Amino acid sequence: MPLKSIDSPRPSGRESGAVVSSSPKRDVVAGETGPADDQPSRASEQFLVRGTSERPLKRPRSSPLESILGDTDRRKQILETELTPWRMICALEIESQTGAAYVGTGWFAGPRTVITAGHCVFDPVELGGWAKKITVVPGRNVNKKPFQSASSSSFSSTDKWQESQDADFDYGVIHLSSDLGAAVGSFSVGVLTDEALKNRLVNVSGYPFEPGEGKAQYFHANRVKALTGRRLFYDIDTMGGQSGSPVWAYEEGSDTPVVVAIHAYGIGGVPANLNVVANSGPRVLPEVLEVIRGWIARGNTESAAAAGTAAAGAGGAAGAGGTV
Amino acid sequence: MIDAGGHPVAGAFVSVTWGTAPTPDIARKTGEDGTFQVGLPPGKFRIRATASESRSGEVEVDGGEGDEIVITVRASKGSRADA
Repeated sequence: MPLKSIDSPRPSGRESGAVVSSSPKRDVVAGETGPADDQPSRASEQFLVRGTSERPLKRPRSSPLESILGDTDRRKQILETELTPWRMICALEIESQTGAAYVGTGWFAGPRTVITAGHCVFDPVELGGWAKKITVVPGRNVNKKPFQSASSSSFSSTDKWQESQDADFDYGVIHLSSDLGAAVGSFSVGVLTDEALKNRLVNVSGYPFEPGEGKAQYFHANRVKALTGRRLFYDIDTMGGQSGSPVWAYEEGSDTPVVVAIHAYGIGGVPANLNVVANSGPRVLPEVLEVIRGWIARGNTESAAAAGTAAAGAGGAAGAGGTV
Repeated sequence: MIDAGGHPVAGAFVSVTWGTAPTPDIARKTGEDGTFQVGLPPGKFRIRATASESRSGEVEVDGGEGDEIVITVRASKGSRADA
């Protein structure tokens, strides 16, 4: 099933699509590690999960009623947001067409490419259509913005999200006009097979409204509880504002974080026939990866063009000052 | 959104924390007049609001009908364990 990228009414973007396979094969777009960390991240050592597990890491003690899936909130605040991989995750300050403010989460897939949920960039009810402006703050830690921020009014989403707000196609991107992501690196993004995702331990980190008011990064990890052809369901606590958070895993023998889904929905998003209580997000699938490749390529093209313009300007100035 | 005294609460955060239908995990801030807008499909939902000074409130509503929602935030007796 072809999937098309749809742009907000600003600079046009490439559209691409690909035929979906009923049995997705592994395919990964490599990210960039970015500058080396000054020190190893203790949070990474203590919290990140890898591999698979037949059982959840911690079973909720009662019937869960909320996106916090048990009696207690199991999320951990990340303080080392200047380190990898936390720095690649961004707090989003979203402004609707009417000036209303929202908070969400995004993550770098390229120096100018911040992936998020489709409803963070386009929503006919909440945002009045396309968002008016989004400010991206990578690695935000309350009032600290270790990598500064960038604002954009250029977004893209998928045709199926824009047309019908189908939860299975809830993907979006923020196109930046500066290489802010070069300072923090970018996630790898990948299609993993159904078999590889079964019981896979996944990590989710983002910027909830509670606690932190969208300014503090909170993390949780656990097991994939179920998957459909288009969505991943996981036993991981989240709260509003974490829409757009990366859902990432580590393949066997690898330390490279690979985003396999984009967190988008709380407990109400689970189809009744799955008979699980979980939060969820749309998977990275072949046609989705193709669209994301296009978004990354667009950013890289614009970055190269900007560099070429800057070089030409510098050369021109030197020529003007040349000898007679 | 209003406080215990009935005054509008600006800059508070509102999000859907439970529902019988998919709702995006996004959070919205109330405007200067304390108002907010939330899109709810048909179903039942719990909406939570938090404001400064450890004030919070929750309501359960039916979605899909375009009704007005009023949330009253009150100071909690103790801070949340994870706040």
